[in-house]
Amino acid sequence: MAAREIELDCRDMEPPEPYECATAALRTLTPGTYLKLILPRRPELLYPWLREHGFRERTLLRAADHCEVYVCRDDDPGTCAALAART
Amino acid sequence: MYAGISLQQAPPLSVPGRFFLTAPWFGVAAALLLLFDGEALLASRWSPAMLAATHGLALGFIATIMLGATQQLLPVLASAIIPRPRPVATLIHLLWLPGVALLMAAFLLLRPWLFHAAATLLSAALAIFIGTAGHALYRSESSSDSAAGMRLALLGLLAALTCGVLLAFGLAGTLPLWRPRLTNLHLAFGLIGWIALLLMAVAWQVVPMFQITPPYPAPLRVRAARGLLLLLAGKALALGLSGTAAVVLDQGCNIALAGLLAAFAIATLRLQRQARRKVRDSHRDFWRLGMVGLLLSILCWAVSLVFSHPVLPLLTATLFLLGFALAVITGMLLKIVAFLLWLHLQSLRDALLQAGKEAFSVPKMNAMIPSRHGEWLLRILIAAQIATVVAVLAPRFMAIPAALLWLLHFGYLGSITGYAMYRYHRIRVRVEPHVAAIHAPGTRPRTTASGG
Repeated sequence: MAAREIELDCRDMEPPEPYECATAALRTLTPGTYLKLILPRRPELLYPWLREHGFRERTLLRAADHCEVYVCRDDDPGTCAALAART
Repeated sequence: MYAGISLQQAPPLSVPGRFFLTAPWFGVAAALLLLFDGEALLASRWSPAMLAATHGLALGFIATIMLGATQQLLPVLASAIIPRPRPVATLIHLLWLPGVALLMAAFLLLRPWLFHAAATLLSAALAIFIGTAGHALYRSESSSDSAAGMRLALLGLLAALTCGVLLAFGLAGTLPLWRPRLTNLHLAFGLIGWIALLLMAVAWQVVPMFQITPPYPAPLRVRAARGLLLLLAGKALALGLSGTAAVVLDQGCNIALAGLLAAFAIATLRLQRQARRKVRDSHRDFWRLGMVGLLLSILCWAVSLVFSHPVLPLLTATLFLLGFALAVITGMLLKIVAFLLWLHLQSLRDALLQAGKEAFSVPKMNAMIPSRHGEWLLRILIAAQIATVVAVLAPRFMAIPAALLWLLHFGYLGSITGYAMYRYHRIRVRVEPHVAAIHAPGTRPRTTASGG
C-alpha cells in the first residue's frame, strides 16, 4: 500500500510558526503517513526535535529559497524506505 | 545561505538579556540631557551635552544592544561559538556600563580623570569582546555572507575604538587633540564601519527570514561589507595625506560610501515590496523607517556638499543615528527578545515532555510582546524623530517636546522588554522544580518517540 502524504506549505510563515505547525502535525502522524514540509530554508530548529521525538527526515534543497523536508516515523520502516528513495 | 543557522548552539538567555535590559535606560539618560540642556545641546556638534548625549545613545543604547545581540547571533548566524559565554558576557557588561556612564560624565564635567577612567573601562570591555568574538569568528568554518560581514564589522569597531581612545586622551590633555579630522574618522568607523556594517550582515539573514522576502542580491551581499571597510581605510589613508590629494581621496571615498549605503537601503525597500507575506507587521515597518532615515541622511549629506551650512552635518548625523540605526535596532530588539523567550520556553517544555512530566503551553511570540506595543512604539519613534529634526532647526521651541517623546520611547521600550523577561522568569520559576527533578542524579530522560 502506498504511503499517504500530508503537505504543509510554510513558505509564507515567519519563524517560529513553521516549527509550531510542523511539530503539531507530527504529533498526530500515523503509520503509513508522512509529512511533506515546504519551507524557504532548511529548518535547523526542527532537526534536533525530530531526532529526539523518533522521526526520520529527508531534506531536498530545490532552490536557494525552496526547501522540501519529508518526515516519517522511525517505527514505520516501510514509509521511511519509500522516502529514502525520493529525489 | 541558511546552512549556517544553528539555534541549538545559542548561549543562555542571560548572556544577551543583561544587555537588552540595560540599554534602553541609557536612552532615557540621553533624553534627560536633551530635556534639561536642550538648547545648549543642539547649539553645536561639539557642545559637551551633545557629546554626552550622542555617546549615551551610540554606546549606551545602540552599541549595548549590538554587543548583546552579537553574542547571541554569532553561533546562530555564523556557527561561531564563544567559549564560557556567561562569564565573558558578565565581564564585558560590568566594564561596559560604568565605562559609558563615566564617558557621559566626562563630556559634561570635562575632567581628565573621567576621560582616562572611561577610556580604560571601555577599551577593556571592547578588547574582551573583540578578542572573544573575533577568535570565535576566525575559528568558525562558516562561509556565509553574514559571518564575513561580522568579521569586517569587528575590524570597524576596533578602528572606531582606537580613534575614540586617542580622542579621549586628547580631551584629557594627555595627547594632542586631533579635531575635527580624527573625530570625523572616529564617526565614520563607528557609524558605518561598525553599526551599518553589522546591521547589513544581520540583514542578509534576518530580513528574508522574518519578513518573508527573497534573498538580497548576491553581488550586494558579497561586496557591500568589504567595499565599506575598504573605503573607510581610504578615508584613514587620506588623513595621512595633505593638500588636494587628501581632499580628493576623502571625498571620493565619501561619495562611494554614500552610494553603497543607498544601494543597501533601496535593496531592502525593494525586497519588502516583494515580500510573500503582506500582513502588517511592525518589525517590517521599523526596518522600512530605518531605510528611509538612511536615505534622508545620505540626501542631507549630499545637500551639504553643495550648500555649506553648520546645521547640515548635525542633521546628517541625527538622521543616521536616530532615523536609521535606532529604528532598525528597536525593531530588531522587539523581535529578538520575543523569539529568544519563545525559544527558551520551547526547549524547557520539550525537556519536561521528554521526561514524562506535565508540560505547560508556550505563549506565542505575539503574546510575549503583543504587536500593539510594537505599533505604538513605532508611532512614538516617528513622532520623536520628526520632533528632533525640527529641534535641530529650531531648538528653542522643539527641544523639550522632542526630549519628552524620547523619554516616552525609551521608557516604553525598557518596560516592554523588562515585562517580557519578567513573564519568562515567572514561567521558569513555576516549572523550575520539575526541571531540577529531570537533571537530578539518577534521573534519565524518556527517549521513546512521542510522534504518534
